[in-house]
Parts: sequence; structure tokens; C-alpha cells
Amino acid sequence: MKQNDDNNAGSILDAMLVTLRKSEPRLEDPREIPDKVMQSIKDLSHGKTDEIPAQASPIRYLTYAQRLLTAASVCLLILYGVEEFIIVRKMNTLETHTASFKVEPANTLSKILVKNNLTIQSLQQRFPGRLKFFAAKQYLSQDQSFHSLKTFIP
Amino acid sequence: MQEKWQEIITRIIAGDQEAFREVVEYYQHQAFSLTFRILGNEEEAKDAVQEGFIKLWQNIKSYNPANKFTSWMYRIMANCAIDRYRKLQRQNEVTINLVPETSMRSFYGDPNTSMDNQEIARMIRLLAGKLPEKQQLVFILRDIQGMESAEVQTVLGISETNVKSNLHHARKSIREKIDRIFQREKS
Repeated sequence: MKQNDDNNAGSILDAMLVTLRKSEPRLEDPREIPDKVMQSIKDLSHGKTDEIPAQASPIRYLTYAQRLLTAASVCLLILYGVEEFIIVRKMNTLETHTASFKVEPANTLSKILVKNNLTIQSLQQRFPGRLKFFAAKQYLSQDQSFHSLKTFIP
Repeated sequence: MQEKWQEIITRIIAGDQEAFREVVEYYQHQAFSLTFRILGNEEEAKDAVQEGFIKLWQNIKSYNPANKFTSWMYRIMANCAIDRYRKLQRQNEVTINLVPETSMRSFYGDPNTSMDNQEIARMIRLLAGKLPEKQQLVFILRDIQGMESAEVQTVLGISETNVKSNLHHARKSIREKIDRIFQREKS
């Protein structure tokens, strides 16, 4: 059945091609083209080139603008991509760097000292005596504030 | 005959405009036939022929007499027509299907009838209108224009394998299209 249909389509196509080959497109005025061509050639030899004009339509300029905008958006996308890449890389580096610091009592204590504008010596002066000083140090290491320390160690 | 054309071409190279007019008058029908079959529009086809002959005049010195003059001329004409076709397509001025597929039967009714330009254009568009550009061109040049495979290669500047495969795909798509219409008309 399929073979039969293919044959039908094939023979119809052949018939159409025969008709098309027989029907040559006709030029109504055989003098029109030679006259125009010769005129253009004469103009060209006299330096006139406006017989074959480059058609500048508004669509052409619109196409240029469209292409320019596309190129610009692609450039912006690339720029943002690169920026993003740089920022992510920097953040990763920072994260790795901060992760290398261990959360140790000494670090927490130093943070509190810096926050309250204190030194170890001043802490020793405020809480004289070895045991009292170490109790204060221990307390501060647990991230407690310096002001609450005063109530903890009178 | 060959000698006569050789002499005319020599005169054209020397700048003889009257000799060139002879060439234009002689070959304009073949050139128009080709460009019209590609473009499917009389005015555009005439403009393409005109442009092609001007290019031919400007580049006559680059013509190699060892090659066939018609092949060289066809190549220039086909390029002009293809450029115009692409431009028309960009501007959406090429109507892909000028006639409904169902009225195809009217075309294959009598193969002895000769068609006018309008009908030729409609029939070519109907057959090859939706094919990819290369397949369309190979089909028009080989099957409608009746060019030899070697000439199609020269005109389009593609290899023999390329011509063969494009022609095969074009014919297959067209046969399938005809078959589809045939089935639809039957049911």
C-alpha cells in the first residue's frame, strides 16, 4: 500500500516537473533588460554609481541597533559572570581563612578584652589574687560580658 | 559558434559595449528563467538579472575561457538571486505557500498545458517553498532548470556529494508532501 502511494507521489512529481520544465518563464519586453543594463554600464563608465543603489531602509538601521544591543547585553552578562566569579572566590578564601581560627577560650577572652578596651594587666589589677583572676578569666572565656563579671566576682 | 562567442568575449574584455549588448540580449532569457525560478517574482528576477549582467561586465576580466561561459554566468546570476531571496526572506516578503496545498490537483491535471509566470512561481513555491535553502536551490537548478549535476556544483560551489544528498532529501520531502495531500484528498 505504502509502496503504491510512493509510486503515485513519484509519478505526480514527475508530471509536475515535466510541466514546469516545459513552461519557461517569459520576459514580456525583451528590450527592457538590455536597455537598462547598457544604461547602467554607461553610467558606471561615467562615474555615476547611483544606478545600483545600496538600499538603506530604516529596517537596516533597526537591525544594526538590534545587533548592537545584543552584543552589549552579551558583554554585560560576561562582565557580571566574571564579577560573580571573583566575589565567590574571595568569599571562599575568607571563609577558609576564618575557619582556620579555632574557637578557643583564649580567643573569646581576647575578643572581650578588646571589646571592653581592657588589658590583661588591668584585669589582674581589678581582680587581684591568682584564684580570683583565673576565675574571672574562666568566666570571660565562656563569652560572658565584662559587666556581668562584676556581679559574678564581687 | 564557440569561436564566435570567444571573439565576442575578447571584444567585451577590450571594453566593447555593443558586444556586451549582444551577450545580454542572447542570454537574458536563460538568466531570467533561472532567477525567476529561484525568486518566484518577476520584478525581483528582472532586477537580479540586471544586477548580474552588470557584475558580469565588471568582472569579465576574471573569466577563465577554459570554463563554460554559461556556467560562469549562471553562477553570477544565481548568487544575485540568492542574495535577493535572503533579503526578501529577512523582510518576510517571500510568501512560503501562495496556494493552499489542497488545490495542487489543478496543477497536475494536464501536463501539456503551458503555464504563465504566475503559475510557475506558485507551483515552485508549492513544491519547494518549505525546504531548507540549499535543498530548494539544488532542486530548482537540477530538477526544474534541468542543469547537469556538474553544473549545479559549479553554480552553487558545493561538492558532488552535497548536491546528491540535498537533491535526495528535497525529492523525498516533496514526495512525502504530495503523498500527504493525496491521502487527504482521498479521505
